[in-house]
Amino acid sequence: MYWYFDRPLVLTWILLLSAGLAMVYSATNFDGYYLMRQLVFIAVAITAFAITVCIDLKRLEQMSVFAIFAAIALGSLVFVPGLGRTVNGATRWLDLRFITFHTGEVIKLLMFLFLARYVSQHRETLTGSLRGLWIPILALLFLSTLLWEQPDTGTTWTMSLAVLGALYLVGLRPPFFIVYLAALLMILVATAVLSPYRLGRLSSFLDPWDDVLISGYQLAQSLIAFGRGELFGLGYGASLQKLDYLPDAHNNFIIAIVAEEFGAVGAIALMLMLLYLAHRVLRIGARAFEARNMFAGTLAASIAILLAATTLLHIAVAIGLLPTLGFGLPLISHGGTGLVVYSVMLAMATRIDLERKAGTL
Amino acid sequence: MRVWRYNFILVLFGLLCLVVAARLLMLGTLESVDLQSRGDDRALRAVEIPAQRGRVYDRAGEVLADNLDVYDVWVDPSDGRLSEEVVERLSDSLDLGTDLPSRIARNRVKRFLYLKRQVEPKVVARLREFERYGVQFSPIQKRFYPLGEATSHVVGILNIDGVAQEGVELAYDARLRGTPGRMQVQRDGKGRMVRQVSASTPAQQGNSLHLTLDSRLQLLALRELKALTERFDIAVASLIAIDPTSGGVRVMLNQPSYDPNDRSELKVLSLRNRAVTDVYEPGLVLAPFTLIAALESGKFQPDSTIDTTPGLIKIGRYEITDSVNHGVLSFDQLLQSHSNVALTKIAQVLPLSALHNTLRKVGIGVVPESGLPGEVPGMVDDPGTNPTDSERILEQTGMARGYGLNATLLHLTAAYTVLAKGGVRIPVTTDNGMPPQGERVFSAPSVKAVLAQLEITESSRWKAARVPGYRVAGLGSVSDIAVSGGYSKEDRNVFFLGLAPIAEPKLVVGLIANRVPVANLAGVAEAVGAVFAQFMNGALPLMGTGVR
Repeated sequence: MYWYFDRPLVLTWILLLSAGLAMVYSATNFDGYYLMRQLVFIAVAITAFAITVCIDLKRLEQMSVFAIFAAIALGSLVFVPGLGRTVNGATRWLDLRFITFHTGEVIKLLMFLFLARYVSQHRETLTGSLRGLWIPILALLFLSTLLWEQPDTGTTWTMSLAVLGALYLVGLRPPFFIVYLAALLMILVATAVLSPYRLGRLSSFLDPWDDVLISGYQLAQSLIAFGRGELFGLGYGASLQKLDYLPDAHNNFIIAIVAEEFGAVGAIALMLMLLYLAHRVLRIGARAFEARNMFAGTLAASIAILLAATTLLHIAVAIGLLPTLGFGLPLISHGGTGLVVYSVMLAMATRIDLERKAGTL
Repeated sequence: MRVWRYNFILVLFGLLCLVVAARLLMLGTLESVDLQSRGDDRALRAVEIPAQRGRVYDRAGEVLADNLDVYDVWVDPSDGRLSEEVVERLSDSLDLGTDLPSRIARNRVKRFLYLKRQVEPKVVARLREFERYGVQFSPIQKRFYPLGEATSHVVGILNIDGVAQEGVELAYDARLRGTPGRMQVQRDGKGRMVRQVSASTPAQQGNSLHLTLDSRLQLLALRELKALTERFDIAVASLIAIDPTSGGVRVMLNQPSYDPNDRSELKVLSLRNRAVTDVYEPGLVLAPFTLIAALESGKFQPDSTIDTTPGLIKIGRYEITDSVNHGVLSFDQLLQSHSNVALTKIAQVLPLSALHNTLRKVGIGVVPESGLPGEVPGMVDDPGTNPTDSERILEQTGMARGYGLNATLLHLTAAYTVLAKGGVRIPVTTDNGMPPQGERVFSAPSVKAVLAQLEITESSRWKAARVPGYRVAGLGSVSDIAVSGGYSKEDRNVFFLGLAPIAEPKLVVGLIANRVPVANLAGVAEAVGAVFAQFMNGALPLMGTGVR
C-alpha cells in the first residue's frame, strides 16, 4: 500500500518531524528532557498516523456525527475543577491523569470533521441560501467562545480561518462571506475591548521598542534573533536569543531561533516546506471535490488551509506583522498534542488520496 | 469546486508567503545591523578580569597572606522560581537561620540580593541543584591569613569586597593588587557569561611582598604577650622587636588583636595597630638619651659626678624627688639609680634644645616610615621656643625624665636600635627588600658609656629581664598617664626596652603594658621584664647568634 501513498507528502512530513526534533533540542539549549519528550511525541504521532490511515473514509464520516458533541465536551471539560490544567494563566490543557493534552488542537480537528460531514449532507442549502449557514456558524461561535474563555486566541483564529477557507472552496457565495467576516470582526473587537491583555498585545506589536522591557519584550527579542541570523544564520545550536532572552523559544517563537541559526534563507525554506505540505493536501482536497466527495474535499481543504494559515501566522507574529496570538509552528514546535493532531490530519489526507487512487472515493 | 476558487486560494497564500518572505529577508539584511546592536546593548558587557592579589611572605618565605577560591551566592529576588519551599531548603543548606524568606519577600522588587558571601567551594558543590531556581554563584577570591591573629596588625585585612583596609595590605596595596584585565563577553538573559567575543587585555597579577617579619618570633611573642595580658587582666599591650643590623621589624603585635579570617568577630577598636598609632609619655626609658646628650655636649664626662642630696630639687613651683637620697652619684651609676634629681640637674646644665635635638636624631617627633599605615610623628617640642626662662627649663628638665613629649612604642624601639648600633641610626622598615642605609648620629664612645650602664645584672631593678646565658641590656619605666588636670592616680604605663646580646645586638625589643592599675604595678613591672626575658630566651637561638 505504501507505494500508493502521496510520497512527497509523507516524506515532507517526516522531514519536518526531524527538523522539529532538532530545533526543539537546540531551542531548549540541548536539554535532554525536552529531546526525550519530543521523541516520545513523534513516536505517538507516527503510530497515530499509521492507525488513522487505515480508517475507512465512510466510517470516518459516520463517526463524525459525534464530532461536534465531542468538541463541545472537550472545550467545556477544561473548566471542570481537577480536570483543567492552567499554565501561564491559560486553562488549555485537559489532565486525564494518564494523559494531558491541549484541547484546542483536538477541537480544531473535530470542528473540521463536523463541518465536512455537514457540508456533505447539506451542500445545496449551504451554498444556495443563508439558512444553511447558521448551524456551522453557530457551532463555530460556540466553540470559539469556549476557546476564548480558556483563553486560546490563536486556535480560535486559525480554526475560523480554516473553516472560512473551506467554505469558500465548497462554493460559499460572496454575501455569505460578508456575514461570516462580520461575525469574526465582531468577536475581535468585542474581545479586544473586553480584555485589556489582548489590547496590550495589539498596541505593543506596533512598536515593540517603545516598551522593550515589558509589553514589547518578547517581540523585540524575537526581532533581534532574526537580525542576528542575517541571511544564512549563526549555525545550528549557536543561537544566543534562546538563552533566557526569548521566552517560549521552543514553542511560540521557534521560527525566530530557526532564523537565528539558519538565517532568513533557512526560515524561508522551512516556511516553503510547510506550505508545500499544505499545497499537497489542498490538491488532494481538490481532487476529492472533483470526485464529488464533499466530505473528503471539505476535510482536506480545511486541513490544508489550517496548515498554511498557522504557518504564515506563526511567522507573521514572530516578525511583528501581527500581534502575538500564541501558537506553535506545525510539526516543528514543542508540544505533543499539536504534533499528533497534525499527523492525524495528514493521515486523513493520505487516506483520501489512497481512496481516490483506489477509486472508492 | 470551481477551479478559480482553488486558484484564488493558491494566489492568496502565495502573496502572503511573498510578504512574509520579504519581511524575513529585510530583517536578515537591511535591519540586521540595527537589530544586532539593540540585542548587543543588553547582551554584550565588558567585564573585568580580576588580577590575583600578590601574596605576602615573611622573611623566610612563610606565607602570611594567601588567596582562596570562594563564591558569593546571590539570587534575583524577583525570580518566580524561588518558591517558599525552595527558599527554606536554601536557608537550611547555607545555615542562614530563619529570616531568609522574609529577606527575600522584602526585596521582591530588586534584581540582586546576596544570600551569603565567601562560601567555600565544597559547600557550593552541594548547592548546585539550586541553580535551576535561579541561585547564582560568582567565583571570587578571598584573602586567607595562615597565621591569623599573630600577624593581623602588621599584615592587615581586606574588606569583604577585597578592598585593602589595614596593615601592609593597605600600605602596599598598589604593589599587591595588580591591574585587572578586561574582556568583552556575551551574556545570556540571566547575565551569565556565554562566550568571549573580543581579544582581552590580560590581568597583570599583583606582586608579592616579602616582609621583614619572622613568623616564628611573632608566634613566640604572641604566646608571651597573651600570657601577660591574661594573667594581669591588662587591656592593652604591645611588643615590637627590631633587628638592629637591618632595621627590619621582626615582630610587631598588640593585644587585643583579631582573627582576620573570621569577620563575624571583628571589632573596630581591635583593628588598630597600637604599636604605631598610640602615643605615650614614656618616662625614664628615655633617660639613656639624656645621658648621651650630656656626654655629647662635652659638659659631662664618663667620670663626672652629680650630687643629688637631699634627693629633691625644686623647679619653679614643682618638686622633683627621688625615692631615696642617693647622695653623690658617679655618672656611670645614673641609670641604675633611677635618680630623677640627677637627670634634672643634667638638664639644667645642658644648652636649651640639646635634648630636643638628641631625641629628634633618634626619630622621636618624626614619622617612622616603616611602611605601616597609621603611623604618627609623636611630639617633642624645642624648649627654646618657650616664652619664659622658667617654662624653658621646666620643659627641658621634664624631657630629661621622659615627660612633656610623646612617642609610640615603635619610636622608642627604633631609638634603642641607635644604642644597639653604637650611635648609628638606621631606618626601621617592614619591607625586606629595602637595603639598610645608616647615618651616624652619636659618637661611639658616648653610646658605649651609656650602654654599659644598661646591662641587666643581679642587682638591677629590672633583673627579671635577665636572659640565662646572654648578656642583655635594658631599662624599664613606670610612667604616669596624663589625664585632664594632671596625671592619673589609678593607672600607669609600664615600659621595658632592651637589647641582646650586648656585644653584638641581634634584637631590640620594646614592650608596653598600658593602663596598669597601681595596685598591680609591682607584679606587672616584674612580669614585663620576664616577658622580655622569655621572648629573648626563645628568639636569640632562632636568630642564630653565637655570641653569648
